[in-house]
Amino acid sequence: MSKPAALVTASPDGDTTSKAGSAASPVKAPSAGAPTTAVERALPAKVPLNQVYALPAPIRTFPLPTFYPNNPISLLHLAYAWLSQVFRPPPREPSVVHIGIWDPETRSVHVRDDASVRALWEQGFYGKGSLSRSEPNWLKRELARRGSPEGKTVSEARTELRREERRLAKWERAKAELEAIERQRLAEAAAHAAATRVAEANGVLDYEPVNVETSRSLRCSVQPAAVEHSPADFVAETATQFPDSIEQTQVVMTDMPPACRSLHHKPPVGPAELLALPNSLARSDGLPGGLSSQQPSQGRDWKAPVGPAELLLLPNSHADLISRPVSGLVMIEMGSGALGQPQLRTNHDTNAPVDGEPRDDQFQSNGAVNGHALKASDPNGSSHRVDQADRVSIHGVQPSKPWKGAVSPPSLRSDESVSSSAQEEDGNISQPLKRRKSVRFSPTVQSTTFVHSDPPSPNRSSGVPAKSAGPALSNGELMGQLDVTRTLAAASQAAPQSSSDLVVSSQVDLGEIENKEHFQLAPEEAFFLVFALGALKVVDPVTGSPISTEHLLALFRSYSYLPPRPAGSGLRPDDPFLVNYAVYHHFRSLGWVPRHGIKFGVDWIIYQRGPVFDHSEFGIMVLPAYSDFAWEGHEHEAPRRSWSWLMGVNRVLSHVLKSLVLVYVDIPPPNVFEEEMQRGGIASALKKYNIREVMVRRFSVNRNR
Amino acid sequence: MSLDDDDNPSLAPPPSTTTSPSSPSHNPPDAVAVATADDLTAEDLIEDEGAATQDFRAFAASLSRQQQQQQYRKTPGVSAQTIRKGEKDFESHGTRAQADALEQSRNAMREVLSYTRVHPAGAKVRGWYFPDWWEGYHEEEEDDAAGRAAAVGGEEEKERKPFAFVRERVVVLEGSSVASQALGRAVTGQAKDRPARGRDWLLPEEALYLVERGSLDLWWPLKGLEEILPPDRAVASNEGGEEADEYEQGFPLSLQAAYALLIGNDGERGKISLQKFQVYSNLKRCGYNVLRAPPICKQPAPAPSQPATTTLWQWFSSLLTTTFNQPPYGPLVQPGLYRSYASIYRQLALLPRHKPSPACSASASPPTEPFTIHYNIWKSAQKWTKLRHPPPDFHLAVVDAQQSSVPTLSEILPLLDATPPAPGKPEWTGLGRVYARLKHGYRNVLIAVVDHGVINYMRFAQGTFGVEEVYGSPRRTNYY
Repeated sequence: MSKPAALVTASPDGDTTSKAGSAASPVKAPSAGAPTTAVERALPAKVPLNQVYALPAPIRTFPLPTFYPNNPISLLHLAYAWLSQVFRPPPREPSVVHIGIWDPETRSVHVRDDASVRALWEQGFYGKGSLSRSEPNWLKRELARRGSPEGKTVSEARTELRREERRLAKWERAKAELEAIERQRLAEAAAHAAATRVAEANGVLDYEPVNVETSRSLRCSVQPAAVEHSPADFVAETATQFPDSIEQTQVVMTDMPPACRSLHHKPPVGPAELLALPNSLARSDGLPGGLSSQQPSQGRDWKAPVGPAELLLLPNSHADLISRPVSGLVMIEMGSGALGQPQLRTNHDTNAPVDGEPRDDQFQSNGAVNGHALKASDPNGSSHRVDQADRVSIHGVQPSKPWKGAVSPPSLRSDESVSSSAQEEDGNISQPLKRRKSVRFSPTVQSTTFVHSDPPSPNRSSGVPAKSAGPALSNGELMGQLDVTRTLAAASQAAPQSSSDLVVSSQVDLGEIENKEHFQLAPEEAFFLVFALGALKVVDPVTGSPISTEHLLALFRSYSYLPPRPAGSGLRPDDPFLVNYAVYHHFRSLGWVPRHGIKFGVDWIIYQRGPVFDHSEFGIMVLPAYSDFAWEGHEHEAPRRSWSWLMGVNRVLSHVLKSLVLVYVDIPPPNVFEEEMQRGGIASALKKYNIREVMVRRFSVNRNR
Repeated sequence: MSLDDDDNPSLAPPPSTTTSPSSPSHNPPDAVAVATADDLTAEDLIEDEGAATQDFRAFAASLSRQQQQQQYRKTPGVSAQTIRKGEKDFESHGTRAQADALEQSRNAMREVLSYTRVHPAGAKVRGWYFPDWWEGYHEEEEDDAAGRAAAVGGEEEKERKPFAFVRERVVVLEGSSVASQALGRAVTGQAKDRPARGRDWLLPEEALYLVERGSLDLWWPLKGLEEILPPDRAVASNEGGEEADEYEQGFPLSLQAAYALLIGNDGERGKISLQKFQVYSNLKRCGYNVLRAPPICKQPAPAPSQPATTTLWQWFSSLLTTTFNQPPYGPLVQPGLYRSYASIYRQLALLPRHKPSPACSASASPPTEPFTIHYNIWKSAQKWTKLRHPPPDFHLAVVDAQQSSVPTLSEILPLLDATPPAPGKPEWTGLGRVYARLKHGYRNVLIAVVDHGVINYMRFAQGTFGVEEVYGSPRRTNYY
């Protein structure tokens, strides 16, 4: 929560960046004519993981039925199974040889066939999806984001949910702490007052808003949600201040975790909140001045928030409102549901304050983006899908118009049908869960004039929709690249459509998604599949002809150096590939599932069954060793690792509840290696690699006595 | 719910613990109950990080519970241990309770610091610095394995004392005190007319530890040992008479002088390196019993009978299993029909797997400095004496963080081989405890990494991955 999740950026050359940004940003809607290569895996609702990942290797086994001596029929069963396998033998395993394409640029082996991808992932957890964390589920996530119920269970989604829960719980905890402090303070104040009977105690403990007239807009929007006046309300007010620069555009934005749906109490995490904590009340008078003095000069040159002062000023939470003078056109694109809601004050939804489930917002959003804005002429219904769309830009305004930023409390933002081009003047943004930051600039700039004391968005809902309904309907056909945001904005405002419409259309859409993801195998994994299991064939990317195992080994070895070494001379027995492959093969052959561990700061992590079943318990650091005396004659550099290196690795690993294993690979000297390569190929050369594991952990003298 | 990796739920205080125990009305009884329930784990978890931050309230409460009872145990049932350290308020939030807690903690600290330290007469002993007395002494290096067996056996142990490092002993004690009970060593086998016969001689780290502790008065002798501690043991009787000319025999040394005399480089006789002394003193203060490890035993022979013990069945089964003809460039798994994954994984086994065994491995090279065992460590136990004690609980090497680096294979293997096998608990069987077995390892050694006085203890254990084949996990075939 301490991180500002959304950024307001603008630059003097905002127009060019805006175009570049919108062109470069990936448009979620594919072109309509894209070939459909996605294979719908017809998964039932719930398949046990043990069935999906039944095979530990891409080789099937055909165990014979068990013979029970006390059950003679089992002998028949056994005989039948055996005879059937004799007369109609199953294909020789590995029956399927997958095809991988060597990719020299990424130094990995790509697999494109979907069946192969699933097989390699499910039977031994090889490889990784190029757009996924590990399991190749980009397509599922994409489907889910567009409203399909299928992909809700991808691990990324669950992780997101869990993080959300944690954040919520943390927030609750912080709130409880703050409340306890507040209670304590009140009790003490009461006791003090009762004891002394002096009114001056109130001077210390008074909750007097500091800047009443500037925080009025905040109050306007806050009141519906904040049913009770609590100290936090005061915090919100003190944290907010508006410099009275009428000429300036102010963009107010908030970043609000879902837990902050109500404004009652906030954890004191933001700088302004910390400053506004009740104990610093005495200094709170000075707060606005201090903040505004830190703000960039109210001129036209608003810079990106890079300096410490600006970073500190970035809004941090819902109540942490900071108004900024912005001279250019400023558009904030928030995440899903990032629309400002002009009718907040008029038609806020009172019955769904906290219920918006975060993932829903995000998943359903892209379906809306994906061209359904055209159908948006349906006058009634569920525009909440639309208005929580993912890629809606919020358009800032022309310079000479004063407008007041106001915050909409998150409880209010859930289900209104909102216009979006209205936000162009409004800056009335409620920050959603999903944070995706970019800046857009509106092609059209509207100009209106507000008096500073006006309510935040006067007659917003009436005028603007009519204006922007036209463009929405007209350019709906060229839905897509550059106009998505605008069209969507218009559509979402103009035409709430019935939810059934949306569902149908999104169903239509699901088949059209092209799977942009490919599967990539690390060289060690690919070589294990080729050399050890024979379940993979690697082909040349140019000619398409299969690469022999011997050549593949030379290829991987030469590419394990950063400028790839020529295959003939520069290869040595301590090639990084060979050392790593020795470790990989060692643990694979013992039944472990090794995966690259760069995310944990180690070389490998090993799972007992696989990442979907258990957390890995060990992180592995590979240390080549040159203990053979014959190495004296060859130049080699044994790695000298400092102790701080070890402690750092160990700290990181113990933080993720893994224990460190130093794996020493004793490398055979070159003459032995070459001899073995001549004699029995890599199979016998690998036998000369000696592997010793050393488990490392911290020892606490206080805990072991 | 565990909130995050970095905040531990057991450390997370109940929200009301910002109020100190002085205001028990805000300490709900259930929160107190929770605090006592997970007190141990919380302590365990805290101590690692927050060892530097003392909670003086807890300290004061345990120091003299009787006097402090009224002050610190207002709520019945809240013991001093429930006052937990580790929770910090990062700012003052203006409540009186917070200020009170702070003030109370300050008072407790003052009280602790103002505690009157009494040095009873028996707690202090005088020692004389005679660095060269044992220089020419030759002590036969005992066989370590036999010594261990003797220590376990018990009866014939009086013949065989632990290696004493007599040449290193530089400080002779006049008497004995409580603190020096477990330290020092009397050199036996001396003639009756030798001076200081039967007196305890201290190693430099022991002497310095006692000096630092305040229980040893180290003196520089002006006369010879024969005059100071004559062999007739009459010193104790006429000590009162010698009171007048005490300073003719020598003069007391300051702590700085003791450091200067006793701290040296590795390998200097009669001195000890600063890192080793820091580790020694840290361990002693933590309550361990620490002795210098005897020099590395010369292994007589690495058990030549080991390969001969293959049974007929082993030989027979080896005939059946090891005959894979592995093609030079794979695939290792021959295409075919497989009944079980065990046969597949057996074909995959290519690299030699290390099987830990009690015998020292083939690398018979002795450990190299600094990766040798310097100290043997025992947990504090009742029946430990400096002469008879069980085999040590830990073996420790002391290295300097700046001068050395992470051990290479040729450094760590001899170091591990120098320790006796210490496999995990016998009840750790089955696949459910495979992690416990693997993490424990077969042999283990502690390495104290000293970086300018900051000590980090690391435990290195010999991995046993080679004997744990996890592909045979029954969970794999158990589909539901």
